[in-house]
Amino acid sequence: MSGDGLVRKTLRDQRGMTIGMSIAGFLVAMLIIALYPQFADQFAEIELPDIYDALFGEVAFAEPAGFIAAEYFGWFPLLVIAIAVIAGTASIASEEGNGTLELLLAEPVTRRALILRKTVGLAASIAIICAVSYAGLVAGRLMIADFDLGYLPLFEATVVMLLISWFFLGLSILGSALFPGRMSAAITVTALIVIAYFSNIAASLVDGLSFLEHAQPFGWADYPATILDGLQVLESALLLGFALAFVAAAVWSFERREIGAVGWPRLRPRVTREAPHAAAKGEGARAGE
Amino acid sequence: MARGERDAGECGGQRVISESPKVTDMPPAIETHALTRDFGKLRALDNLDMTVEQGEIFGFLGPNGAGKSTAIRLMLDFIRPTYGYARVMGFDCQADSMEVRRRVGYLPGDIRVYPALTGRETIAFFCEMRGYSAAESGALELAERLQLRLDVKSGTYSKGNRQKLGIVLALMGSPDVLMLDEPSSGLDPLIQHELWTLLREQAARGVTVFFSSHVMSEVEMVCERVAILRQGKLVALEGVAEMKTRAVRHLIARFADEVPPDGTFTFDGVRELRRERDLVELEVQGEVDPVLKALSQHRVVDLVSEQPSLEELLMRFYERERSS
Repeated sequence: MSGDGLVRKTLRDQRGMTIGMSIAGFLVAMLIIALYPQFADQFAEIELPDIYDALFGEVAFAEPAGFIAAEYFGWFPLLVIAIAVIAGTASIASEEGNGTLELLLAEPVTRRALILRKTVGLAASIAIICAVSYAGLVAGRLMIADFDLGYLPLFEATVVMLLISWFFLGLSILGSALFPGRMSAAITVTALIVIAYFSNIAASLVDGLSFLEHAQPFGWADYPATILDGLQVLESALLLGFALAFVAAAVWSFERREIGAVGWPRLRPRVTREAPHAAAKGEGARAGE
Repeated sequence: MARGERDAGECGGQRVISESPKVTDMPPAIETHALTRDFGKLRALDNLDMTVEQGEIFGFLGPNGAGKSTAIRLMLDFIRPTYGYARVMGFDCQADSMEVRRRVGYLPGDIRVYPALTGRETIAFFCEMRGYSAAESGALELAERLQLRLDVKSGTYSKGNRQKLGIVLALMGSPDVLMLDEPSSGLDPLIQHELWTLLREQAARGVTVFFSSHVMSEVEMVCERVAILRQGKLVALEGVAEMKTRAVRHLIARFADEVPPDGTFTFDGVRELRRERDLVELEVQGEVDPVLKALSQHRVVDLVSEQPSLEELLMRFYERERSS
């Protein structure tokens, strides 16, 4: 089977969201850097509350690194994550809900290939959004001479944004493969994101909870540290590793799941090849026939 | 050469795509043994033993909830059996599911398509999944025969047009076995007629047509054999013609003079239902030959033989099942 068709269709399904979000990302990135000269003066005169340090690290907001970490990487990745969750939870659950999954699975394609090709399409869509957004950062950097920050730190921070988005994309695809409907998958994944996000804040604010900083993905996606010190290899590897692990788990569960069966559990029973009357008599199974 | 071993090449104007590992000589198109599926405490399919030969048009009958769709879903490995197994073209439906699906064209009961794709794009997408082009698959000719407009979004299709698209997707690429769940649903009578013609053509080329239905008249018109399911159990599996021959029929004979005396029609399987001055109504099970020979001894001015429709037969099967 040619897998390109499924990847292309996935990209096509995401086309509107990808184009819209890419344009928004480009413009937002460029405009935020364009606004830097005005904000820099104001930030220099303001003493920000401690929570800002907790949220964005001890960076100077009047400096380009602190400014872009707070004003762009402080919230824009959350939008990209939202896109990843919307697309990821729809990947399998929507096909099943819309009744098109049976048509797909009646084709000579393995369930593994189905999930992997959809994943490739969705991951590419997220990568396009991040790449265009980075182009917006570069455009802003070219426009504003005062924004004295190299292209590499911006690129590395964008890579972190991509990795955390892939992390949640993988989790969403797992939810989509596990749950019977898109809504239950989306609610579960969103709840996990909220828990992780507030764990990250709590870890920064409460000394006793500081261990949580290294126990959830928002702690691994440390934009200020990435911009100042370069890509955090271990944290980035964790984000990518978990993303791949989630997709592997999605494949594993989807291969064992029944399609269109009502109710739980929806795991496909092991084939015993034993006739009911034989089972009743306790006769031997005909497994392997 | 078994159908499962067909080489890529031309067949009836359509390119044959399947290239498969060798299977045993001419295996049945579909074979199930003790196929059973439980959903919790509900037994949706109970010990289904059934064989469908290659090139047959086979009807799978039963009311809603009888287990027809469950059986098809087991064959396509959407769900797994609790017991038993199914084979398609000699391939195990679970262990060799890919090989099975490579040989099957499937029409789901309630077909849904991608609303954002046009009919043509939908065909191109599924053709690519199978590794051939729309032109090679014969899909465009099929769409023309079913009068399906391909250049509009599938989302705007009526139920009938969605069904036509589903039929095109199932038939394209010359699969060995067609599994069609309620194929005529939503089609107007003209297109239904075209569909039956198409299916007969496919069968003439050796394609096995396996379709479920609860519309008896269409099964009667198209099928050679039928299996009748009720509450997951197979209650009958035989040829339509044999079923009707074996079934009870009514004979009404009108005589020029008075009816023959009592006892004239005392044969095995014959029961007198009504007797009037010049008319007798008989219920005959099995051959009508002895009755005809008895009638020939008298002057008969009119003879009506009422053969039961498949629907009536089905109702009798169900009643018999219920009473047993």
